[in-house]
Order: sequence, then C-alpha cells, then structure tokens
Amino acid sequence: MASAFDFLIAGDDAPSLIAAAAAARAGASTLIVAPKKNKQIAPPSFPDIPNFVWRRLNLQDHNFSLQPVSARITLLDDGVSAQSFRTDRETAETLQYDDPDAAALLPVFSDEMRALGASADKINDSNAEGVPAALAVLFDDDGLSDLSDLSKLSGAANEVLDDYLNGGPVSSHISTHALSLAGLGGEEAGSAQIFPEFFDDAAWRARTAKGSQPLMKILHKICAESGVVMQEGMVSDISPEGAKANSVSFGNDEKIRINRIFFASPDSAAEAGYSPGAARQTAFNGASATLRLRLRKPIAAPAGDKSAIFQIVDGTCDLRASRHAALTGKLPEKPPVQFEFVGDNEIVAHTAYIPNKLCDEEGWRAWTGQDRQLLMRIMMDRLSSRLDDLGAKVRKQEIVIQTTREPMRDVYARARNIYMQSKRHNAIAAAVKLVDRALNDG
Amino acid sequence: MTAEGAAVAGAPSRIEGGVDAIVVGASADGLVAAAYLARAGLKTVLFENAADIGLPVRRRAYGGDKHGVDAEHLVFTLDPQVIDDLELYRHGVSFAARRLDTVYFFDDHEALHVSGDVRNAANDIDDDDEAAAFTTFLEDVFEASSFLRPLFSGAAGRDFKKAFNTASPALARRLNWMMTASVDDVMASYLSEGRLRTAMTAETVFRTSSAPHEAMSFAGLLAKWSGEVAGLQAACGVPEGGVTVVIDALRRAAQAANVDIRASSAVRQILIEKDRAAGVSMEGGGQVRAPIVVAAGDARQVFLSLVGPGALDVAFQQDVAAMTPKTATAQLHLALRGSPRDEETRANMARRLVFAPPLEALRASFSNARQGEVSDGLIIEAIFPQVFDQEAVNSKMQILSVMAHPLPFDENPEKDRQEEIRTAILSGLEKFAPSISKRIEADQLVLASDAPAVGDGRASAFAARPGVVRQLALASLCASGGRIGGLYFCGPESQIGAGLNGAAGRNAARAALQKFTRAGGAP
Repeated sequence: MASAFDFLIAGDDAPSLIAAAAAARAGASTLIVAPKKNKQIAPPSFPDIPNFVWRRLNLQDHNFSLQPVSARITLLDDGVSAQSFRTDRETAETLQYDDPDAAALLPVFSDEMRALGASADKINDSNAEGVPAALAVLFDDDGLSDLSDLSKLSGAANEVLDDYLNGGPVSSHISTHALSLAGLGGEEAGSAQIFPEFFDDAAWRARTAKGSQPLMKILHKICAESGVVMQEGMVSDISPEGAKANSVSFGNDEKIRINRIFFASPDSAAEAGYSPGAARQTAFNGASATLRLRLRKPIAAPAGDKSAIFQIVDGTCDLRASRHAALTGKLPEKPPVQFEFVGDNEIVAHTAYIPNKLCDEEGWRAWTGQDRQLLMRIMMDRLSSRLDDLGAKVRKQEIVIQTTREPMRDVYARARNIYMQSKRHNAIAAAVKLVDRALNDG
Repeated sequence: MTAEGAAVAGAPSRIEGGVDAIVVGASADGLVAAAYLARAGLKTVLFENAADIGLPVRRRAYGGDKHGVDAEHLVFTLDPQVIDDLELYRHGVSFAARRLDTVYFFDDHEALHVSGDVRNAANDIDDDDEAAAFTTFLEDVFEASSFLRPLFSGAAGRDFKKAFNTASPALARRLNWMMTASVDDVMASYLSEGRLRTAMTAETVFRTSSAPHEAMSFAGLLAKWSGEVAGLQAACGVPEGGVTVVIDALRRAAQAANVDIRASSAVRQILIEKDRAAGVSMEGGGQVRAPIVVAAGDARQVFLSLVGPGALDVAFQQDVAAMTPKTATAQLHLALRGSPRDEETRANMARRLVFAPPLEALRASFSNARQGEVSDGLIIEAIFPQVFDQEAVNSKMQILSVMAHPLPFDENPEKDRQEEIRTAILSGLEKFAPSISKRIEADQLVLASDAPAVGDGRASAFAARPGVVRQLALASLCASGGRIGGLYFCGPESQIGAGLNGAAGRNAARAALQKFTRAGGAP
C-alpha cells in the first residue's frame, strides 16, 4: 500500500463509499479505512442519490435503479396518524381536508427552512481555519438577515417549529421524522439546523428498485475501479506532518501521510475514534439500535402502504423523554421507533434514543446481554402497539446496538484538513458536495 | 428626581429640547452608556422608572439583619476598559478579595480546591497526568478566550476579523471547534472522567441555558474566562461593600460627567420619526427630544413596547419575541445562627464554594428545567459575604448567599413552586454542608421573576441567556437597534454571559458617538 494519500475516508457506509469514489474520480488518491464489523443490520432505505451524483459515478452503467419511498408516516397515539410526501404539493393536497391550517403553513415552513440551507452549511463547516463561518456575519456591516438566520439556526427545533405550526399531528410528524435521525429531543440549542436539510429534496429516502443490483455492491465495484484503496482498521492517532498534511496511525507501527481526512457521518467518525462533537448541531451523544424481525407470515402495513417509512411515537413528549433517558444512561420507556418493511416477511426497526453506556446504582457500565434483551422487548412493545398481532407472527428477532467510542484527546488542535459531516438526512448529496469543497480547498 | 426633571416629566404636552442623548434605564449598562456620552460632551439625560438607581443588584436587607446580600454576589467579568475609562476606583470601587479560591464539592462528599489564580490551578492537582492534562486545557482555553475577548465584549469589528484570519492554523481550528462544540466533547478531549471534569463542566454551564451535551455549549466557558477582575483573567472578586458598590461608583461616575439622572421618571414611548429615534415621551405626559436614544431595558420591552412593532422589521420582531428564557438561576439568602470564632474557619469561609453535581444529574436538571420541573442535581455556588466585610466581623449571624442553577423560568411562580425550589437548593447545600438547615434563622428566596416585580419590567439577571452563539447573533441584532437610526441598545440581551459587565453600555455609547461625530453633531 502507498505511504501517502490525498484523502483518507473513515468508514464504509454508502455516503463514505460515494465520497471516496467521487474523490478518486476527481483524481485524488484515496484510502478507505473501516473497522471490521460485527453483525450489522442495515435498513433497506438510504438517502436519495441526486442526479449530479449519478452522473459523477455513472451509476446508470451498473444496472442500478432507485425506488423512492412512498411516504413518511407517523403512527401517533389512539390511531391518529400523519403523513407527508416527496413534494410539498402532494402533502398539502392530502392535508387540506383534515388540517387546512397545516396544509397552508407546512409548505411555507419547508420553503423557509430550505432557504436557510446555505447558512446551516456554514455553521457545519468543521474545517474552517479563518473566522468561523457561522460567526463571520457578526463582523459584517450589513449582515442583519444572516444574523437572523444564525439566531434561528442556533436555537431549538421546537421553538422554530412552534413559530409555524401550532402543535397537532402534523407538527409531531415533522418533529419525529426530522429529529429522530440524531436522537434529538428538539429542545437542544442548535437543533433547529436539522430542518433545512430535512426538507432538502436529497433527504427523501429511497431503496434499490426491484431487479437492480444492490447499492453497496455497486459502490464497492466503483471504488475498486476508481483506484480507491480499502483497508480494515481504525484510526488511532492523527498528528500534523509538514505544513499541510497529517500523519495517521492505525494502532500499529504503520503511519500514512494524508492530506485530507474525511468522515461522512458522526457514526463513521466515532467508529474511527474521532469525536462526533465536531458535528456541531446534531452531535450524537448516544447509541442506536436496529432490530430485525423475520415474520412467519406477512403482516398488514399501516395505511396499507408497505413502501412507506413509519415512525411510532405517542407525541413529541416521547422525543424529549427518550432523549433525557438516553443522556442519563437509562433505557427509554417509549422510544420513538422507525420501521420499514423488507418484502413481505421482514421488518427492520431502528431507534437512536438509547444511551451509549448505562447508568445504575453502581455507576456507568457497558451494555449487557440482559440490556439488549430488555431493549428488544421495549421496541417490540412499541411495534406491537401499532401492528396488530405482531407478536404471534414473529419467527425470529435479532438486535444490534451501535455505540460510539470516546474521542481522541486534543486532536482538533493538532490535525489538519479534517472534514466531517453532521448526522444528515441528505447524507449522500452532502458528502459529495463536501468532497468537492475539500478538493477546492487545495 | 431633580426638581427640573420633575417639572418636565409631569408637564402634559410640554416638549423639552436641547438634549443630545437620552438613556432609558439606570441599569449598570445604562449608567455606563450615560457616563461615556456625557464625558464626550453630550448633554445626556438618564431616565429611570424606579426611585432607586441600580435596583436589580442593590443590596437587600432581610431577616432583621442589616447585612443583606446583593443580587450579584461576585464579579467575574467587569469590563476593565470601563473600570479605567470611568475611573471606578476613584469613584469607590475596591476589592475586598480578588482571585477568590474555589472549592468544588461532589456527590461522593470529596472536595477539590482550585486556586483563585486559575492559571496556576493545575498545581493543586495531585495526580501528575491529570495535572498535565489540566495545564494543557487551561493554556488552550485561556488562549482562545483571550483571543475572543473582543467578540464577547461586543467590540469585534473588521480588525478582529483580520486578526482571526491571520491566527495560526492550530489556534484558528481550536477557536472554531471550541466555539461550536459541546462541553462534553471538549472536556473529553482534554480531561479524563473524574472530579476535575465534573467541576469544569459545572463551571462552564453555570448560569447558561445550554446543557453540557449540547452543541455550542463550551463557548460559555470561553465567554466567562474572557473577562477579568483587576487584570487577572478568569478570576472572581468580591468588591468591598458588595457588588452594589460598583453600581454606586457607576452612578457617581455618571454624575461626575454631568449626566442628568432622573429617577421615578417612566418613559412611555421611544419616539420614532422618519425611521430615526427622535426622543421619548413620558408616562406623566410631555416629551424630551434628542437625536440619540440609548435603551437599557430588556429587548422585548424596548422594541415591542417602547418602540412598537410598527417601526420594526417583521423578522426582527420574531427574533425579539423569541427571546423568552426557559431556564433560570435562583438565589437563596440564608441567615445562619452562630458565627465563626477562629481565623482558620474564617479563612475557609473566604472562598467560593461550588457543588458540582454528577454529569448525568446535571443533564437531567437542564432537561427538567426546560419542562418546568425542579431537580435536585443543581449547581450550587455559595459565598459568605460577611467574611469580606470588616464591619460585620462581630455579627451574631452568618450570612450565606447561594445561587443555584438550572431551574425553570417561571413568570409567576406559585408558593408551592417557590418552596420546591427552596427545598432543592437546601438539599444541594446539605450535600456539602450537612445540617446547615438546622441553623437557619431566616431566609429569602430570589427568583428570576422577582426582578421584573421590583425593576420596571427589566429582564432579570437571573434568567438564563441563550447559548453563546445565539446570544452573539441576538446581541448584534439588538445592537443594530432594529435598524432605527439614532437608537442604540445596551439591555441584558446585548451582554454575553451572566453577571455585571458594563461592556454593552460602553459599546452602545461608542456606536452613538461615532455616528454623532460623523454627522457633525459633536459639540
């Protein structure tokens, strides 16, 4: 393996592989480092792949096609539900009979949030070496509208949402789908920044279409064809080398000179031992759990729509309470649970509202098998509350908990050209844009 | 109120002219702004609704004891430029104690003593590795907070931007990171889990609205440590005679500069004519006209009531309306039976005592406070003000001033809620001062809602401000006066961080003087 690369990409999830392929195709020598993984359960959907990424990677040449999810549906308490669709127009049309106020206000809210996208990206700029981009407006003579943006985006999601929608199922629906990605409660400073990218077109989720090759298989192939080097391992230290490069080590004697270090998500950063704190507003302080249920026989989907993405939540108070529990080392009683159908005989459910470590009378401790069993029961209870007769139809269930590591000490002051994305709904499009920026930074 | 002032304020339909600048509100920043304007030669009138000047931090007597406690019991970030420019030492400010040591107490009943000279605080740490890590932490944080001082004092302009862009890459990266990262992330990068991390976390989030796990929360420590007392960054001091002496000194400085201070004079409206401030109208009738109006009340009161929404941009109105606090600090004054009999005990009491709750309890407290609930995982800061007061040495009672955070912000707390807060604070105190409750002779609870009750709708100093980055944005927005020419703002929203500071008043006056001079209006 070469001893120097332009790009080190930590992690091998879809955004990481796409970023690596984009960097390599732009002429950068690229290394992917990812730890050996234990069992993983991947949700079938992933963030949409916008057209410019298709063209960049020539995905159309690989027998690849996408099927967007049909709807985002939230299953609230007492049989109430709310849903939204890929376009504001479709959503407004559906809403106008049940909730005309929301039908009128939601498109305004989503438009205004999308307009804040550029400002949110500036705040997320983890590699700025001059004035923090988020603060630059403070020194501009005529930066009042930017200041107003900064004020909104550094505030709480709940406050921003309350300015537009006065509670109700639609408000709970938007909160749940937007915030649950990063296990947020909605009251955190800066959590409002989740909205601009949530309403981005590239945040809508999609699945591999029937007959298409699996996305990950194609991405591995494209990376290999593009000359991306893949190595198993974890970053153990990063230190500066020369004026612009870093020396990266991997827990052995091997050291590689790297110009730019790239994390496509806080999860890949955490896996590599890099603090997800640099992921600003959606810094993810907890763990996540994915539950796979294999079914004896098919089960009816809520609203009769198996291609939607569902969230189970009684109300937004569940988000706050579960976040609170996760931060204090407890298992939440009613965690928001997202789930999807995989064909007729499988359901994959996910929650990001669980603690990284648990805390009891003895203090903080790691997860045990008993904890996993308990969480599985809690998630099953949530699913059973919305899916009739689920318990009787489950043939096999398995759960995977993904925890994060403690950060490397003081690495920010030492390392150079580190690019990291926050946990984003539009992770794939944003990863390629961030690669482009990194390349432009020289 | 002066006789002349009473006549003008009370005379219906009468217009008073010949005034260069009006300051609305005699808070510390209002007094500072007025003093600067008058020292520059502007005929300056300061209107205060209350009869007493500096009421929000005024010493209060209670329990029949003459030794009450100020609403602020320590000074952390009093602007050194204000001290020098307004000659506050000549006007009566002196420090009974500087570089006050802090003793942190923990849930496991252990304690950690940290020197008041924080730069050398690592010397107090026994473990060599931990001391080395703490030294690096202190060096990096001090470097960042010194650099950012102009930003926090509201004086950052193009020169600061230039300085930022020419900072070393390592410093620039660290500044970027520390301004936007969470307390948890920064602490975990420097300090191993343990008491020191717990203590520094409590220090950072005390009196802020940002929980330690939240993005941008670490900036709270940068702001706090960018101040200084008597030239020592990050130190805290006890003014001789209490913090109210600073207010008295500011009043004297304003009077010495010929500010016309008119107490008991309520302003009804700030007059806006052709998008410019033109003066004020008074509650009792009449107008006072001036090309400069500096408002020192809280933003909602100034912009939504005194100026009125009609003169404001809609987005700005939304920004101002969003400034409702969710969390707050409470203060509990205790008169305790008995007094220290020996010098050693007195020496031990001459410290700042801080209870730092476990991190998970602290996170829960923030979350609960936002939901309107009171937790027992509060950060408690306590001092014995009498120890610094020579006149009170022989008192038969000890006075203890306690501040507790984070608590819910209640506009109208009921009796049960007040009792719940009192109990939670006492429970926190008992963790490091067992049986203290049995020695209470009298007590007084001061909540964020009490300041508006006594201080003319002024936002309480105890209401937690938003996170630092949001505060910076809101402060800049407010400082622009809602884009109304001649209107300047130095209310609590224009100050970054809690406590007595004065920089906002200085900045408002400076901005007003620059425009006034540029317009050829300088006398």
